[in-house]
Amino acid sequence: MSAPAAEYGRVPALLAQHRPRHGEPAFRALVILASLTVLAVIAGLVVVIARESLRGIAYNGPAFLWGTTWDPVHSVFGALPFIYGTILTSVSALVLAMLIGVGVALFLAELAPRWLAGPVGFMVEMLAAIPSVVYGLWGIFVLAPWIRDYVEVPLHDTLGFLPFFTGNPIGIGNLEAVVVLTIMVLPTVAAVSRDVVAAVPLSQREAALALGATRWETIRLGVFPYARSGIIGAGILGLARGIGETMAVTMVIGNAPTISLSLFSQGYTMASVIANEFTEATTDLYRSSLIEIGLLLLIVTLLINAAARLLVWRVAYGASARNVLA
Amino acid sequence: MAIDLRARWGALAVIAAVTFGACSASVGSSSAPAGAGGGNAPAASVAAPASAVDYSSVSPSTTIGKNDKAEVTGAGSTAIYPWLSAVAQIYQQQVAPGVAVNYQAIGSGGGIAQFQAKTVDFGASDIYLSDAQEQQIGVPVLNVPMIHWAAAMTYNLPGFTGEVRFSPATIAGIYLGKITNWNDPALAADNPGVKLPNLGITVAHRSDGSGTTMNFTSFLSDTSPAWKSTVGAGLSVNWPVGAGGKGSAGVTALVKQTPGAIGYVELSYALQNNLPVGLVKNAAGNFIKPTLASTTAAVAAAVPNAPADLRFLIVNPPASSPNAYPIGASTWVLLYKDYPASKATEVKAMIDFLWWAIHNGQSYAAQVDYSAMAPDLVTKVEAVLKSVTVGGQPVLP
Repeated sequence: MSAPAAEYGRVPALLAQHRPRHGEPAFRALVILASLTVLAVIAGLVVVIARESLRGIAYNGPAFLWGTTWDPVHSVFGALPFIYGTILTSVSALVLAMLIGVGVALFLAELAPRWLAGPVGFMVEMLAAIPSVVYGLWGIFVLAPWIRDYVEVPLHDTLGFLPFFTGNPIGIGNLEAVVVLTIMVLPTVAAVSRDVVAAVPLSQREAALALGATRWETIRLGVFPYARSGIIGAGILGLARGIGETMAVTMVIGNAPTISLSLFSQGYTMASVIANEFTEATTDLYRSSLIEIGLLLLIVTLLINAAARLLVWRVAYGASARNVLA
Repeated sequence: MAIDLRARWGALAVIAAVTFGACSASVGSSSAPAGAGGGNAPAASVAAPASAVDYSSVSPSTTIGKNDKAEVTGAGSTAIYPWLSAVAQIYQQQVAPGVAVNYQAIGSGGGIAQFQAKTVDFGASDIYLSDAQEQQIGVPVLNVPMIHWAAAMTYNLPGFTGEVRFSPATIAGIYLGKITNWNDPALAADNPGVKLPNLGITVAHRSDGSGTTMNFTSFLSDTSPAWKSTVGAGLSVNWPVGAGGKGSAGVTALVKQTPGAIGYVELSYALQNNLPVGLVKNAAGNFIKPTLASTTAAVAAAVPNAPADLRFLIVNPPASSPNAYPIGASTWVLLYKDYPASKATEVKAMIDFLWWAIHNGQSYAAQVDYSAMAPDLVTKVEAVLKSVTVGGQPVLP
């Protein structure tokens, strides 16, 4: 602890000797420029998407938000099935990925021996490097028949009276989209959570252990409160991945704009309908309505992000408030 | 970050390959939409022309010299890409080394948008321009049919090896969700003496906008009043039932994975993947197997009734042609009637290339599993190409 202090003392002297002071404003300008670039890109994106969707907004009106029919032939455009599909698949996938991902993170950071933690962590991160079209192909050719024969058909035969298990189980549909998305979101959640858990100071665990806590109690009392906001942050990143995912979902969800509680039903997401129909949208109104879906996707993402941030803030604030009280 | 970026580009390349492969036949191993005339291999896989139609009566003109240099740019339909890139390559190698055709297969919608914005020399679309679209462009335009293909009905009936026959009303009933089992009386009536299984029908269709869907739904609209009034025809429609697969590959995957499934795919895709295809009843009352020849027969049957501006579909051709397959499709090249004089070199090169493509180029259609034009249509297209002008002067003599 004494070495850095000594270094601190020497730094201003070094600067004074070798460097004129105008490096500082230049650096400042550079980083400000870098942040402004991001802002400019987002602003440009929003302006262009909004402008291009004006025609659709004028024609479709507010009913675009709750309309359930998407009929390009008769120019009837309602986006509700896509909003429903996007939220259903990404939120379900997030919940599943959080359960598995936080488990993976705790195992890797707290329990696993070092020789195992390295390879397993690497494998989890590798999941993120697989192109989504590969997940899609795997979903169609491997997972779909398996889910149909070993999950959907048995569920349909035994619990088919529940609204969640009605319909024609063909493998492709909401359930499979959720499973594929879960696998795609998992590495983000697991890797970030692992780093967050690993960053919890040792003194937290030592304090809990000193009080006679078991391993689970140590994690619950010492690690979780500290890592909670970071883990929720991992969830936000994962959700963003899930909402925007296009290719893999398009290949496995069945692309039918229906609103159904059934896991076996085919569904549709906002990103998928844009990917499917944009290239062959031959009229201006049709194209503009698709861009309007893009605008809506941007807004939904923004709202979900804001909600999640509010959650982080409340959790972090609530935790520190409790700590103070305790 | 560098690795991440590379992975993304890799994924894009795969997506591109899947998309273009899915929409149509692939030429050679090249899947890049750009540079049809620029380098790699389609020509290698295209052997000497095996002409189904006799084009000896017509001679391709070369209005520009072999040494002229021009780059012609076009954009649009992915369906036309395998054939267009192949003929552009051969044209450059055998006829005019200086002429490169740069075609971007971005889809019909994108092609029309770029053509409207006047950023390309020609567009290509799986559907001709509507009156409203033509008015929006503001200058006279030409719709030039270039190549034909068909939508084939494919299905998955485990243990069934025969050919299933479909009347138009049965297909409409299936896609409207009214016929839901393979042992339905309507199917039994289409297939006398054949026992179809007691198996639920799962309907598969294209989820992406596509010329195949356009012509399939036009066929249903033409033959089924119920379909026309509830669904209609378009590149994408509001399907009453079924699951959507992306591209012909996606539909095929759905059908192959699901016992009892039925779907429609591009004929070239069905031929190259040896899919079982159904026979469809035409206006003459015959059940016809989709082939390159039966599609060309549909073109021949439709041409006599075609309007002078060549905005016509070849679905459900009249009964005068007993061997015509009823779900045929076309891709149009979109041209301006008059180009500015500053574009003279490119336009001469383009018109000469297109002239070559509607004559010699048709011989290469079979190599990529597409159907050639009927000779009667070639004559009509010649007249349209001759009407193109540069600065008010005709390009062709």
